Amino acid sequence: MACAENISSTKLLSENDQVILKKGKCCQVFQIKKKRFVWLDKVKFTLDGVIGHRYGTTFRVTNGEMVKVNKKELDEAFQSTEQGKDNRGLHDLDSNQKLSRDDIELMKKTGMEGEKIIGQLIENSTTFKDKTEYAQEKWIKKKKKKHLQIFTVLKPTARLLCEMYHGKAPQKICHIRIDTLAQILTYSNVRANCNMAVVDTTNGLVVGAVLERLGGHGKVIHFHTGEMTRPALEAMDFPQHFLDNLYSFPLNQTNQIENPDSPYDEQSESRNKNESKTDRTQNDSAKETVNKNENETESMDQSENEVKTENDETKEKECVDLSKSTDTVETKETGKTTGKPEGNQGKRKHRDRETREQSRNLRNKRIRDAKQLLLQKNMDGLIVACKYHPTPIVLALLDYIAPCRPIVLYSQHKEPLMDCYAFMRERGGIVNFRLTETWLREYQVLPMRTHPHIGMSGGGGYLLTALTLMKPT
Amino acid sequence: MSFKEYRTNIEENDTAILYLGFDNMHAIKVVKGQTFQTKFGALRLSNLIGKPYGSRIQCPKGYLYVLYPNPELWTQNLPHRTQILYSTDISLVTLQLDLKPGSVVVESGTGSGSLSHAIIRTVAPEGHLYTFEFHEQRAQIAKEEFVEHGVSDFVTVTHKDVCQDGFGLNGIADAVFLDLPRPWDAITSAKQALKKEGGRLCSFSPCIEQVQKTCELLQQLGFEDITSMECLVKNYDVRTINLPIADLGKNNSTLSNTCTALDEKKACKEIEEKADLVKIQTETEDLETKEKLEPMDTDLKEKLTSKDKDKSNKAVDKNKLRTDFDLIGKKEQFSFFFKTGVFPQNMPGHTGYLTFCTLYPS
Repeated sequence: MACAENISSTKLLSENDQVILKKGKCCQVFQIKKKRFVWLDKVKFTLDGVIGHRYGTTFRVTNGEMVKVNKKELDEAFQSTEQGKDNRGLHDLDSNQKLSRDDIELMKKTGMEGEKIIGQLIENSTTFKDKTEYAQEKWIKKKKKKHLQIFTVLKPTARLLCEMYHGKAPQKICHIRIDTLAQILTYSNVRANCNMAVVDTTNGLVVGAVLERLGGHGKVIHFHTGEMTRPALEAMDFPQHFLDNLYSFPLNQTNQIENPDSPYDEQSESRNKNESKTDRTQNDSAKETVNKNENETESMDQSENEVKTENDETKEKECVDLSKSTDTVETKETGKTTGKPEGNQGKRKHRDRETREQSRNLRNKRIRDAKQLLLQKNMDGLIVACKYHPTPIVLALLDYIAPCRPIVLYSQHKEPLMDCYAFMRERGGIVNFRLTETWLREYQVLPMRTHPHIGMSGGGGYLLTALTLMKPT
Repeated sequence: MSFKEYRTNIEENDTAILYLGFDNMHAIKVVKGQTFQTKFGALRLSNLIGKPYGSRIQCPKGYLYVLYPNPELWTQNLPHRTQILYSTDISLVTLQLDLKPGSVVVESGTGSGSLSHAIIRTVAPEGHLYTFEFHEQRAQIAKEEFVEHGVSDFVTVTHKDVCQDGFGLNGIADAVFLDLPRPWDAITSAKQALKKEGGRLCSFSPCIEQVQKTCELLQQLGFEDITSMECLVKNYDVRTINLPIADLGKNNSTLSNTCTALDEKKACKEIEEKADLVKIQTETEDLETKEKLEPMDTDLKEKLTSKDKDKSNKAVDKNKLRTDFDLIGKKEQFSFFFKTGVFPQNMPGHTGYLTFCTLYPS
């Protein structure tokens, strides 16, 4: 049976596909839209050129378009015949490079290829030939990063998305580092045919990663707060039968799980949404460009949402806007609309009003279904990766987890987990507690120049893992 | 019992984990008529049959729990036939190789099957693991274990020296994992095993020289995004620590409490700094502040500023200061108590270097 495609997929790219453009360590996710410009690495271009190619193909930006490149040509090195022995004769002077910034800008504007620009830079450098072989290599590597607009198109996976967010806007994923995400997935024993309860305020990264590991077999209840935008999950472009297994459950309904008929409290939901919105607005200045870039490329409803956030709209208006955006997300989740509408605002709004009632009913039904699933008290694991204090959440959800199942709690700080540990011990029925942190160090591996990277991540967050037991009777 | 799904009750011939305490577990096979000696006395295994997993079992001198096995518990308790990979590295390998249900994976060597169990868990039910081991008996035992653990449909164990004879696989794998003393001897064959549309490869080596040689060859063979890394796990022990407060002699200060004047000054400064931080703090902290505020529906921004004021008030009000400290610990006349995560005196400082790379479609 077909699974979510990965790099090995034979699928050809088409419009509306989600892609990651990767250049070295820099990643950015986009949705392919014909004739729409995207900004990346200070260049503006369209993605039309990737349509019809496979994931894993490399492209060069030429005149604002993506053109497939032959990798073998790229590897031609800028070999210099002359090399210095050491740097005793080198001085750090502006006059070392005869080309001015304007000269370089002009070359770029006339559409000169990155390789030629670097060639010119070498020719006009008075010091290049005196650099050591290693220094020359490093210098060229630096210039390549700056002047070559070459991107590899990849299928968004949990791994790439985690790298992307962690590099650009770690606060959006609660600072979960890739090795920590890896531990979460392993220790929760998530695999096909599991039903998982996941509390996630990481823009859908953890829920997405769990869905990836379920491979379409087994259900996920996503406990969420506020407006439900899950860009990380959406970027993973799961097939419909994966998403049919995803239930979205408002965290503020958790205390109502035992009450299967409680109506969906729209008011308290929107209040909650509004809070987290304000919360986001407060932090927005600190936020980085991931979403700004998305603004350019993502569908209208999403960018609309973002702009509203930035502009700090009045509460009332925000409320309306938010419930709308939730609707859109929800309908998409249940497959009512395929593809996102472009432009044509008036028409869309009209249709929204029509479908809102319908999607609310649908959402209520999904919540009732989720409650029923929870009430069987047979969930196969609990993952909490959120910005909230985990203790009350865990204590509220523990009863719905079957015996001998893993519990994995993530927090950016270890103190909340210590608190949680104390309460869980007091509750009883849980063993094999582990409070851990992982340490990740990357290496530069080159002949005679192998050493750890100069920079490393200071921390990737903490995990508390444990196993449930039979409830004592 | 099966590693591919959960079951409720213990059955005959199941592999089960006996949990006697943290870091005190045993993997056993539930065979009728056998007894197992624990530190709490003899356990008759027949007594376990029919009981639900997760049950508490009374032994002559104490009680234990019977746990359902999963690859992580297995890794902690399996019989070692070789050095094994532990769950920290296994996790990173699984995520970095993009493994998920449906992935086809090639592994060499099988060793004690620690990683194999984790791979099978993740790639089942549509995926498959081809695992190669050059030691005949080890290959045979691994094969038997996979049958016992109910996962033999998802794995093929081959007794073969892949460095000498290659994998003999062509364009079928999404990912290859190498844990070999001379990985470079297997990389060319590994490349052949990967799908034409590309895939990921990982090599695990304890020594940096192995990594060096591996990376050189990987680059020559056209692998890209080559990254080498090391991942270690640190376990914290949650403890309450009691630090004695030093006797600094007689205090001339008029303050009647146990804090010295210097302490007070420091504390005030700290709290002021904290109040400043509130303005630029992270989302998490914002939330903590928010939770304390009632009612929720009025403007948060206003609240935050008032909270700021509140905090600076605290800095002035010395009585409130005590409570602030109680968040971190508790100060009594002769000691300062606090809760912390204590890390162990000794921990594994090295397991191996993990080198990951991608083969893109040509």
